[in-house]
Amino acid sequence: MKKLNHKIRTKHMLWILSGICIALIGISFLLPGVRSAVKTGAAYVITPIQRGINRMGMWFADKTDTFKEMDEVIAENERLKQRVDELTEENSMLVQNRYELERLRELLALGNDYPDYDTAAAKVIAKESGNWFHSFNIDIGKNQGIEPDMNVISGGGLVGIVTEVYENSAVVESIIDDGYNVSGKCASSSDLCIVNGDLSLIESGLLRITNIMKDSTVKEGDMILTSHISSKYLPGILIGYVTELTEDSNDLTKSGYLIPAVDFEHIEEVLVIKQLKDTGGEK
Amino acid sequence: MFLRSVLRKIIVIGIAILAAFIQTAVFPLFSFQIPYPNLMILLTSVFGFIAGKREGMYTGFICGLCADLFGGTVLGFSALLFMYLGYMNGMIRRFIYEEDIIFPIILVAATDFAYNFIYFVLNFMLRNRLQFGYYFIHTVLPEIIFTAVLVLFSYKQFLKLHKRLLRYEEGSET
Repeated sequence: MKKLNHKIRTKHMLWILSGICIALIGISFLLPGVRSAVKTGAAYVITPIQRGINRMGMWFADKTDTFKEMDEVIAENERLKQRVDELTEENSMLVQNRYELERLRELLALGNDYPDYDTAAAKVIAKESGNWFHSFNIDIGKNQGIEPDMNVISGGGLVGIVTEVYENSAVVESIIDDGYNVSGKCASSSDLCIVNGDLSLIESGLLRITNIMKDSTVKEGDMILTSHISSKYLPGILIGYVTELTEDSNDLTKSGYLIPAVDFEHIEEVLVIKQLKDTGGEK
Repeated sequence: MFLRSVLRKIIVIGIAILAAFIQTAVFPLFSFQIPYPNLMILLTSVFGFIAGKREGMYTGFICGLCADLFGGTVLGFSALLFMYLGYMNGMIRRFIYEEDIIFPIILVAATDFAYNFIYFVLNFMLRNRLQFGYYFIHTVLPEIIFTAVLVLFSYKQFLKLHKRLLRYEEGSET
C-alpha cells in the first residue's frame, strides 16, 4: 500500500514539476523582464565565485607553465632575437613608407578611418555549459558601464558582441558561434560580404564567408573588416583573413573561408569597446 | 527527523551547483574550444540509476535548473529535459544490478546522446543545419566519451554515497 502511494506521489510530482518548467519557459518568452531579473539575481551569486575560480586557475597555470616553458623560452628567445633584427630592418623601411603615406593622405584629404575607441578590459570567467555554443561570461557589467550590443575585441580582432548585461558580469556571444552573422568589408577593395560562424568549422578554426560579388577583386589573404553598413558593429574592426574562395553555383556570388584574427582557443582577456554604433534611429 | 530526510536533497543540490561551477569555470581554463564532459548529464543519469525514478527526477530538475541559470537563454527548458531524462534512467534501474560498472556507462552515454540529439534537433536542425553525422563525430562523441570516462572513475563513489545516505535515512525512521 505504502509503495503504491509512493508511486502515485512520484508521478504527481513529475506533473507538477513539468508544469513549473513549462511555466518558466512561458515566462522566458512572454515576460523577458522577469527572466532577466532572475538571471541577474543568479549572476549576482554566481559571478564572484566564477571569478575566484578563474583567478585560482590562472595562478596554477602560471606556476606550472613557468617550469614547463623554460626550454621553450630559451629557444624562443633565440628566434626572437633574429626576428628583432629582421623587424628593425623592416621597420626602418616602413617608417619611410609612413611618411609617404601621410603625405599622400594629406594630398587626398582623407580622414583617419580608425578613431581611438574608449575600451574596458575584461577577463573571461566562464563559458556556457554544453558544447554546441561558445558564448562566454566576462567579469565586468552594468556597474562598469557595459551595455548590450557593445563590441568585444581581443588582440586587435573582433571577438563578438555583448548580448546580456548583469550587475558585475556580462554575456558575450562570439563570432565563431553557429548561426552568427557579421557584415564584413574587404579592406583593399571595399567589397561587402557576410561572415558566418559554423560549428562544423570550429575545429579547423575557420569562419565561413559568403555573398561576395562574383566580379569583386577579393582574393585569398585579403583582410576583412566590419563594414560600415552593419547595424551593431563599429566599422573597421578586423575580423580576419580570407582563405579559399570558390564561386557559388548560382554564378553570382563567391564564398569561402576566413581565418579569424583572434585565437579563440586561448581567449582569456578581451576589450569591450564602450561605444555603441550610432545608427541614427531611436533606441 | 525532518532534517535527516532533507539531507539527501541538500547534498544533491550541493553537488549539482559544484558541478555547474566546474562545467562553466574550471573546464574552460584548459581549453576554450574542445568539447567538455557533461557533468549535469552524468549526475542526472547516475543518480536516477542508483536511486530510482523519484531521485532521478529531482536530480534532473535541479541539474537542469543549474544549467539554465548558469547560461542558456530559456529558463526551464533544460530543467524539463533533464527531469525526464533522470526519470527515465530511474525506470531502468529495476532491471539491472547496480554494482555492475558497464551498464551505468552505457546508460550515461545513451542519456548524453539523447540530450544532445534533442538539443541538435531544436537548435540546429530547425535552422537547416542537417549534417548530424559531422556534429556527432566532432561534438557529441567526444563529449560522450569524456563523460563515460568520468563515470568509470566516479560511479563507485556515488554508489557509496547513496548507500550511506540510505542507511542514514533508514536509521532515522526506526
